[in-house]
Amino acid sequence: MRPIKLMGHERSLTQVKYNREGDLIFSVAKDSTASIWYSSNGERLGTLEGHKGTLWSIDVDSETKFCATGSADLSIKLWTVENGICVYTWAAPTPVRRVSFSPDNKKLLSVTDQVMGQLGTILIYAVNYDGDYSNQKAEPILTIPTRPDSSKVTVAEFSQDGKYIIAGHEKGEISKYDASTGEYIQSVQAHGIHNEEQTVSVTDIQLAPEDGSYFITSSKDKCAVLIDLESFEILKVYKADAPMNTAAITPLKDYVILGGGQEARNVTTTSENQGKFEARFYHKIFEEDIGRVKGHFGPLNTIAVHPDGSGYTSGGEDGFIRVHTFDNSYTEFYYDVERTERAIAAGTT
Amino acid sequence: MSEQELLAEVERDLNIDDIDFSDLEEQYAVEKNFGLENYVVVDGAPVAPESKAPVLEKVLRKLFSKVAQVVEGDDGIYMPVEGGKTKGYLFVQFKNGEQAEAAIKNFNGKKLDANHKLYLNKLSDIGKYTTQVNDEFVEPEIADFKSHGYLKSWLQDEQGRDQMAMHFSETVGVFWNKKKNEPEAAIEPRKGFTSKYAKFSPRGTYLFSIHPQGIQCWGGEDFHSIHKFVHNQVRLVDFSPNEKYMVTLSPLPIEIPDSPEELARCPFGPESKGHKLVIWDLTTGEPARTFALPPHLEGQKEMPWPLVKWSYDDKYCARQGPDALAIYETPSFQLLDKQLVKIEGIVDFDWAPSGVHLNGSKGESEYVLSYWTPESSNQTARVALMHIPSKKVLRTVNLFQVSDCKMHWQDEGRFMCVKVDRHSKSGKTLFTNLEFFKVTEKDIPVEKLELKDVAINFAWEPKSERFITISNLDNGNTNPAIPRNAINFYAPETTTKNNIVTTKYKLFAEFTDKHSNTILWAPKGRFVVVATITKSNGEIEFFDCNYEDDKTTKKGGKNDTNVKLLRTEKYPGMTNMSWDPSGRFLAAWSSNWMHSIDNGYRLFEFTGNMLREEPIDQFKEFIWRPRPASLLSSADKKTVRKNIKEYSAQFDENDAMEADAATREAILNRKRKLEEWRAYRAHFANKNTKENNVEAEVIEEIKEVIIEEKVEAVEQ
Amino acid sequence: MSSGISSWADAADDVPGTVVTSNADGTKTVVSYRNNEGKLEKITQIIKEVKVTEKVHPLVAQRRKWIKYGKERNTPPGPDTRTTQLGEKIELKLGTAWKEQEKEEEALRAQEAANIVSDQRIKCRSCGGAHFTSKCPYKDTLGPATPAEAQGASGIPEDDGANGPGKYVPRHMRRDANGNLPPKDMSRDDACTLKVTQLNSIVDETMLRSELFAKYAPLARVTVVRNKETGESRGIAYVTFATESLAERALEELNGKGYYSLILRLEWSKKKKT
Repeated sequence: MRPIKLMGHERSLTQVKYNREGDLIFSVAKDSTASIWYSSNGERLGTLEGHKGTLWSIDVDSETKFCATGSADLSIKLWTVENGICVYTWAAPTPVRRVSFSPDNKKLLSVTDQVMGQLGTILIYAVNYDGDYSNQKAEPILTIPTRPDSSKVTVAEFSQDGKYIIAGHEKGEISKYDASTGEYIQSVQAHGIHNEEQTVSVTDIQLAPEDGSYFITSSKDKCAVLIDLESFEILKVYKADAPMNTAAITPLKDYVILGGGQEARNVTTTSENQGKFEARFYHKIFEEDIGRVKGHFGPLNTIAVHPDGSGYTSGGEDGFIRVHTFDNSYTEFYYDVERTERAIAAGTT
Repeated sequence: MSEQELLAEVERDLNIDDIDFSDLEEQYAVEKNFGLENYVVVDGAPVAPESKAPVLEKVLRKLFSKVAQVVEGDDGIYMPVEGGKTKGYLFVQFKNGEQAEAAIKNFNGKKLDANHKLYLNKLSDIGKYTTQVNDEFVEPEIADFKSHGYLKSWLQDEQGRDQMAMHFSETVGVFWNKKKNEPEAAIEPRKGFTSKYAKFSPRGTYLFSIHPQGIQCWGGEDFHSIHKFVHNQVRLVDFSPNEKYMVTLSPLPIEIPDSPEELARCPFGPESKGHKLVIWDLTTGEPARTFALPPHLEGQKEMPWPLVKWSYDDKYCARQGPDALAIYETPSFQLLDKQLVKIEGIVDFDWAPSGVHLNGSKGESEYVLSYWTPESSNQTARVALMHIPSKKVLRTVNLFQVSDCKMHWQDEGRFMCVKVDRHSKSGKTLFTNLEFFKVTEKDIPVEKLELKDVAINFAWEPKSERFITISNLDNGNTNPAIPRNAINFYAPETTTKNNIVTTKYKLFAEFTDKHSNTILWAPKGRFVVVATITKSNGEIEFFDCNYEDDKTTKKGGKNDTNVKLLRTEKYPGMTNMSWDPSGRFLAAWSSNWMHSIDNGYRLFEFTGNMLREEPIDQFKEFIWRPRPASLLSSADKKTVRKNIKEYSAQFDENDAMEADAATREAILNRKRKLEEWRAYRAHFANKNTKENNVEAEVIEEIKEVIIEEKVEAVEQ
Repeated sequence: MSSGISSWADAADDVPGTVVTSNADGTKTVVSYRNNEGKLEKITQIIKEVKVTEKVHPLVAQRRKWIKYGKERNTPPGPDTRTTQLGEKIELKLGTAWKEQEKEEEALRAQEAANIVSDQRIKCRSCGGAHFTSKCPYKDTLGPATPAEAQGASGIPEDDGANGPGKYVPRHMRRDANGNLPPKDMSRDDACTLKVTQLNSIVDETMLRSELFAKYAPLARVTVVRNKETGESRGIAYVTFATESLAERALEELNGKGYYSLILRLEWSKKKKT
């Protein structure tokens, strides 16, 4: 396969996302401009200008009407995707690390950093979606503060039915809250238990593409973990040899893709280790390391999989975005046991 | 204001409680043991009739006065008398405590005459230690014998596999080597097993872990705790070749605790106070002897180790001091002939690693050690062989313009090679001479091999007379990227002239333009790896030194000089290598102690074929468990060699079964996981709802297509 | 400046930038360079823009018609080479034994590359044969064609010297793909930039920003010069301040001060002197 290199950002990438149909890619980086790209040919639709600090996160609603950006400049901005106009700006108490729309697009979740004497918090804002969208309620409708027995929240997502909020924390625990009341439901220590790593903060949460009934979390503890949404049990563990910044589950095939890498300042070695910054493919069910995709010159910070499973996009510390479209060898690979299973299925139907 | 007014003013301001009198209190404080330290109890004196008492007193007074002043008159010596006889002990008062100490130091344990040995103790000590003692004799309880099981059980493995310890993160585990397959844990890996490193004893019987309080010894099939060796903050550990003794070193001097309870737990006696080096008896677990660090090593950052070197059978050990060698006999650990061996300027010494059959010694094994001394103003540098226990110098070689010497004993003790780095008169260029001591021949002839360049490494093949050097061509170019090292293979060449058989070392193979810096012979010889281990580079080259091909078989099977490079393997990040005891496998690893890049290990066959690669986070060390010497006689070995085909067939079969089992296991495991997953997903089967059935629309789009692409290398 | 990696400070040992030439037949020639394990490689791609028709979701079709905005306002349809390029071909081989496979392939590729190098090393500028230009058998008949032609075509006088063959031209003074000289004021204004040397190699951009130069904020740009291959700091950094006076203050206050066990040396970035 031949990836498309997107070089619109001047600093390291922080998040990339596809819209629901997968025709657009939304990217944010440590420079203050977000970019929107056509995924099929890498053409840039436009840039979103107006933030004054690092952009940590971006999300697009399910109808590709709005996208939201969260920035270190203490603001969340709402943009119309069609023309790149900022329609509203929420002021946040601290830098915004993550933004995410609820499945019904009526709510926007944000994770704010624990700095300047403020606690790390999940704030839920109401989104006036169908009405006068330049007129929004400035105050959050729900605030979920860090619980005293927990550590600061680093990432959070709505569950696919919008009932729960799942949050990842600095000390490796994953917790679940009621999305309407903010009530704490349960948590699981998902990271920092598979090895003896000291840094274990959760770096990414992505839902299962088929129905969101389970999700994957990645962590600096060099692991990614698959967790069932209802029971909150750990289903699978994928172990890597470097801190992981991102993890995604692929549709169509039973794989997960992990991204990360040793931070630049820790890498002082030979040229032969250059390009060790690879997307890592694991078999979702067997937890086996089955392949790598090279190309980045720095750790991978973010990975998003095309909703139809035909490819994926990665954003790196090196400032590049790489858009990959899988070729046949990807779809045609099966383990023998999988082939047997398919043969049986084909024979019986 | 008058003086009085002033004083009154001061007093008013001063509160007497606020004044700090501690300095005065200290100055005039009455010491607890006031005067008591001047008294010494002398025991072991003759029991004399009362009439002779004054004479005895006079004799003793005179004796002690040699080193200390005894208080004049009756206050000086009190000798109790009972039933008309002295009681064999007396009390002596010295002028002060220091003199009392001096007297104890000089006379304690010394003989007064042929029949009487004096024991001197401080009166305060007698008080301190006897109050706790029960007057009644209590039979000491002898602890029940506790079996540690068969300590060599791992040698009985049916497949003859070897064990290794692997140290990663804070965990140490002992595993069976399963070649290609995942190592099988022999015990559950233990977290926080050691605070520094783990070590096997030289014959593999025990595993040791290091802790701040001392050393813990483990053994048996389950690696249970066998003994604790209390040595505070111990850093370095070494063993005698036969596992009889262990040597430990701590940067902290040994302290003898005051309280009786702690004293009971302290393994050391008062004579060990301030010592740092301890020799332990491994079977009893008790210290055999302790030493202070020689003054020239105190405060040294890099400690030469081992500090104690052993003869091949643990009979003797020796320590090197400034201008002298201290040789001790075991198990008494007393100096051989009660004196040091003076060797002016000694730099280094080594024991012959095996018993030496000296010419004319009628087949008896002798103890030999070698040492060297550098050049001084009126003396050449010297390398000498010394016979122990006679301390007779067997052979000396004088050398000039010597920069450095390294002594390399051949493992059977037949040869000793001295790698002499010499400099030209101007001191600008360096080159190496090799001086071979043929230890078993008459008068120990020395053969000299002059090399043109500097040999940076030398290694004898085990049980053989062949050796390898790595030489460094010094052409003034210091660019580290240019390989300038050469690997040289040498073997003895025998020539017969006028019925006199002479052997000379001949270069028979050479590999140039290398970065190599490390030589590691397989423990049984023939195969050798030469590697490059540097920060930026890692490469292993596997050689067969008896390569059999058509050429050699034609010559009648003699192929001692046919070297073949079997394979070259790159391994960037590699920090260490080690052969397993059988010489079939080589482990190489990248240790977290050196850097954190690609930590993990690789396992190779002796041919260089990689069997296994396992990246392990924070991997630290791969430690093969050593094996004791084989019990088979050479006749037994011959039979095995003769029937090797039958044996190998058996092992091949085992291997095949093993491999099959592992694959099957993996497949079954996957099958199970797949079934579990499908069962899990079945719960959600009907919940998948949304379907997008919208008519597709046709659009036109601009895409870039690469018609032609070429890649060229650009010269820089 | 389109990417994060080829920042101005490591331009010194950077690979040459990408040059795009439009060809007469509507195709584009993209010449880019990459550093492959210490060897510089030149990649020449001839790219054609093609129109393809696709069947897509109506919503997607609708979005395809949107007008570009932001930095892309008024740019022609289709991907722009400044921001979008096709990468090198990558193979994703899935399987449990991918490590071994990869190793074998790498060895094979290395061998192929070696062959290419030996083929391409010498190329005659006159006839394209595998020999030096001066040894060309057609030397007299063909002559060194290319440079003369190029100069004639662009009509640049000889004394310009900037693009004369065989002469080193600093990167910022080179002609762009269309043969135009860069505008004179294009060179970066380094009046507010300090060069920091004798930095401890553990110091990175964040530390400079948030520790050492925090008092002189805002900092327009902080770049540590790194070894391209290993990412290790070379102990040099360029720091651009908001104003010259801030820079001057930093220079006065920090030059000669210790930072992470090394004595810092600060000086004006070289260009100021000239």
